[in-house]
Amino acid sequence: MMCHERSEILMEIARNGAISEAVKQESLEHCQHCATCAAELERQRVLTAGLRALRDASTALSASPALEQKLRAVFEQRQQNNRPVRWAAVAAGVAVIIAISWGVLKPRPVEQEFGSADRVVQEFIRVPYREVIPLEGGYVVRVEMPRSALVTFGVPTYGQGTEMVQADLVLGFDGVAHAVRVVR
Amino acid sequence: MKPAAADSDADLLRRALSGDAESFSVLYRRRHAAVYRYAFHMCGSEAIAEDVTQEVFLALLREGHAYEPGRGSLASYLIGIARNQVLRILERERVSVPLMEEAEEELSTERWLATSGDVLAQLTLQQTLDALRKAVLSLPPAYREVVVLCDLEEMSYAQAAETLSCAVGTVRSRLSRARKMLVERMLSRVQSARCPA
Repeated sequence: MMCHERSEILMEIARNGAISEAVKQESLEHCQHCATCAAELERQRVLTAGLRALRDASTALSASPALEQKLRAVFEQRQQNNRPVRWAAVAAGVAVIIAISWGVLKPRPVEQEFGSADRVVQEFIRVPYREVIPLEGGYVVRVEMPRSALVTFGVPTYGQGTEMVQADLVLGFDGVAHAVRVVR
Repeated sequence: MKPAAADSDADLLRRALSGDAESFSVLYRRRHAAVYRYAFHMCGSEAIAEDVTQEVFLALLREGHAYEPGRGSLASYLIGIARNQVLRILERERVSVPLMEEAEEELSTERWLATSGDVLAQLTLQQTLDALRKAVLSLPPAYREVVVLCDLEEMSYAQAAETLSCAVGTVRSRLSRARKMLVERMLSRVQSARCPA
């Protein structure tokens, strides 16, 4: 082995790193006869000592106590914000179910759901309260609704609010809408 | 359920994301210092380290659901978030640390390249540590981070590779190169102290 090929081995010896005993002994014996490698090993040892001293001096480094209080306040604020949203989510889900049952939103037959003539005008977007209610399963329902009703799901609307549009809703098993896309 | 010291990071995170503030606090106290130190050693600024720590834990609150315990430890996950923040800051602000020229006091060759006596005792001198810290900060980020993770945070090569999303061999070779650069810079400092221009 050439001297320049030993640099990683000398580093591992100096760091007390993972290295086989045989390789370590062979390199240590080499260092007894090679001044260049011996000096390199010594420099690596001194560097290791220096870095360990720097590590020890850094142990006490820590963010200010105020940061924990700040994050805790953010945490609690998020929890407070989420509570009414949960109710809003459930209410919106119930509203969807009621609307479907009353015929305001008209579910289309399943076989039409992925019809080739459908034109998806946008990808699914999450309804605003989605992030606090993980979706563990559900189904897609295609509905027709007044364009103005899209606002309920956080979709910006343009044109006449009374115009009927088709949309796909991703509903959880609890009936809560998680995402919506306008189809046509 | 009251969080306990023995609870795993993953359990604490799951409960925190379900709204348990105490679990969040326990997790924060357990992991924030390593995040802070990583950012501090990478940027050399307490203010930036504090900002990065804050952003890491806010991101955890926002996107902690994305953490998958099977893909690695939460400690590595947090350092990974911190790393993204730090690299963005370094890129944006070009955080640079004036190198060895600005070390306040001279380092003697004997102190740095001591070949006898209590090396460690000499190296704990504050001026030596300051010079070494600046030398670490002067490394290119890709080399600096392996020194910070492997030598200052004592991560194994495997943990560092997981954090940096690279091969273990890459970590080892970068560390070897980084340490050579550190030695060269410290020697350069010693020589310039001996022979001022």
